[in-house]
Amino acid sequence: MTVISVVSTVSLAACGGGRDVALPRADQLAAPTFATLPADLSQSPQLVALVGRDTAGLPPTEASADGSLLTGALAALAALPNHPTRLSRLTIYSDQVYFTFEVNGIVGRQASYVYRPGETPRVSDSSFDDNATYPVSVIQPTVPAALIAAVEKAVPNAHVTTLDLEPGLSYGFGLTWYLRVEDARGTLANVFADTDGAIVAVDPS
Amino acid sequence: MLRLVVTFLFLFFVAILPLHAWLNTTPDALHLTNSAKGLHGITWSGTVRSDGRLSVRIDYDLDQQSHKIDVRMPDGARFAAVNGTPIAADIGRYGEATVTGPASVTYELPGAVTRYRDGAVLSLGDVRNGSIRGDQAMFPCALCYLGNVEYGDIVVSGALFVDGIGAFVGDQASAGLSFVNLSPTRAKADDDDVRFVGLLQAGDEPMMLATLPAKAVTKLTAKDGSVVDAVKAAKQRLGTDGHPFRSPTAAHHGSATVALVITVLYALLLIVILVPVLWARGARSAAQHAGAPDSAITVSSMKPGELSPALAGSVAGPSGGQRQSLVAAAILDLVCRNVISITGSDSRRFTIHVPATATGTTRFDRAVIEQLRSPMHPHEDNDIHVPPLWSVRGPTVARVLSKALAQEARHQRLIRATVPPVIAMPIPIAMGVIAIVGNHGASKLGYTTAIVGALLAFAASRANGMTLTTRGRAEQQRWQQYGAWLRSNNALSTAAAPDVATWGETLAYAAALGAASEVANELSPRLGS
Repeated sequence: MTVISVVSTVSLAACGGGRDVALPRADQLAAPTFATLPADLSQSPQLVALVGRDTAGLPPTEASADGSLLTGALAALAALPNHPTRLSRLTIYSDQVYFTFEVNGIVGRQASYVYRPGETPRVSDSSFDDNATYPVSVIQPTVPAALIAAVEKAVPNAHVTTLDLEPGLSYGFGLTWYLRVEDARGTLANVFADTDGAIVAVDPS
Repeated sequence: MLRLVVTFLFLFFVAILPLHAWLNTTPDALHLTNSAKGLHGITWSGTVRSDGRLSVRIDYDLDQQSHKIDVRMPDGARFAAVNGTPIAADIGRYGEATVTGPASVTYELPGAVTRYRDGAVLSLGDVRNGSIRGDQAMFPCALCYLGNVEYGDIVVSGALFVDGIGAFVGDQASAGLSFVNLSPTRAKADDDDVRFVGLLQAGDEPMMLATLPAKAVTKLTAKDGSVVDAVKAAKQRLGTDGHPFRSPTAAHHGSATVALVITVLYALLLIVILVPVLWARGARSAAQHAGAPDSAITVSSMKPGELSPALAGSVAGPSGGQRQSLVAAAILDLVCRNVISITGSDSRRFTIHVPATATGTTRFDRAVIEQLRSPMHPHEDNDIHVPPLWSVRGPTVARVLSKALAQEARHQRLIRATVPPVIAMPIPIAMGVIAIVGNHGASKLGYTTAIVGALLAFAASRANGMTLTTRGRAEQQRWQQYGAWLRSNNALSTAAAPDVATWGETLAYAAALGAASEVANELSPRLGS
């Protein structure tokens, strides 16, 4: 803004043009600040960038993901033999939670587990998979439900249909939740959120 | 000639400090000749948090037209906003906005800082296939991604805010910061920030490397290796043939108050030293051109005061080697006061008797008596059969007694140092200390001036010797008149030492004032053996 014009001492040069520029004074520059995590995720500033669109009054075709399933799913995962401690994928749907986990701490050996409330756990056979993994301990079980509520409050005619916690879907953010937001016209946007719930970016698909 | 050379060398050397102080008060400006139209400049600001995360604000000083901005951010950038309003961005990195007038792009960037044992490194940039990846730089190509901006160079200024970075880099802001494509640059470190300014050629993207104190990123895990190695490796990795890393020039500007105080002290030094030196030189020159001193002096037969013969001779007597006659004058004065005695009839053979109890009233008297005593039996009576009186001890005696006489003359306030060391030495020290304090301990020239300036002041003081005080000049005038009268008496010039019994103190004053050459030859030490 005006900082540059204040910073730069403008004068006519002897050769007939240009300007002299000098080091800015200390009081002309302010240190950039950092975002803070709001207590209510619906107050996340970045949700301003998530703007709904006209769907002619039609509701979303896909059901909302159920974040509340995660607590039970994690408990069931922990109850599995060998107690998986590292995941390469976690996806929350409306009716199930899908895990891909490292088997017996062996890098590259992974298996899948689908959690559906009230059903017998289903674990696949182990197979080779070199996708990056992360510790289960980074997951805060209540965050997905809070994120779904915050996003759907910001865009009432859309649903968060899935939430993924997967390095491959974090797009350089490190490890973030990847929320797919859909309305009656299809995918509206993808939202990225840190594991503590901080919404860091909105990707307008 | 030597005294002038040393004095001017001293004054010239000390003059560098105030000159440098004044030059330092003016910021070292850069000149922009081919400014981009529609964009007055870019200000980049960044804050590093203890976990290594960087908060970035890029202020585009756009003119008041409508500008479409294609926002490009590095991998992992988050919380993107334009003018404080969050924006949507493809995979978090590519967004757009339309603004009228200046615009600020803000985001946070984790992962740009790496901590090592002895510090940390902030790296903003990437190179692929020999080309800079603009998205990963401090900001992308302004002409490419800012609408309604025409070709030209751009002023880039800003600051990096990091706790304790000022103490970490000291006055070597340039050592902690380097850029690609931003040149030339100036930088200055304060307590918790390093400010910079530079020029960016149209279409270029600047990259930055900065070394940070480890204590500023305590929540980052330290990696193996050192900052120096990391910076070297980063420069090798990021440096391109046509776009090498360059460090800014330090852009200290000192306080005008400090410069003023130093200048006042220097002016005081000039007054205290240069005026007396030139005055003394002028006086000597005038004396040389005036010819024989007697020609312009009124003759007076009345002893004009109570100065001892040696002191009278020191202000009004002959100069150069003839000044050794002051020793003869002192011996004769001691005889007149019955402290010592001379027996004999003529200059071919006489005896000086120095009693064991002999003592003088002045330090010069005491020094003369001391030299007259037997080196083997200093506490006994001593009879010296003359000639010779001093023999091979002449040069040593001459030096010792000359020093004692100078001390006595200074004690009597007849002479003073032409360049007083008590003033000349403290002033450059004070100037240096003020420069050091005024620059927060970062003035190497201040240290040099304080040490070397004081030594040169001492040398200048020694080289310029002594000069008459006001009282000394008054005494000189009176005693020169008396000396002229004594020199008109031919009998005094042929008088021998034993004749002091006849002439009394008149012979002592005659020896001191160049009127008794015979007795002066008998009793004076020779400078050469």
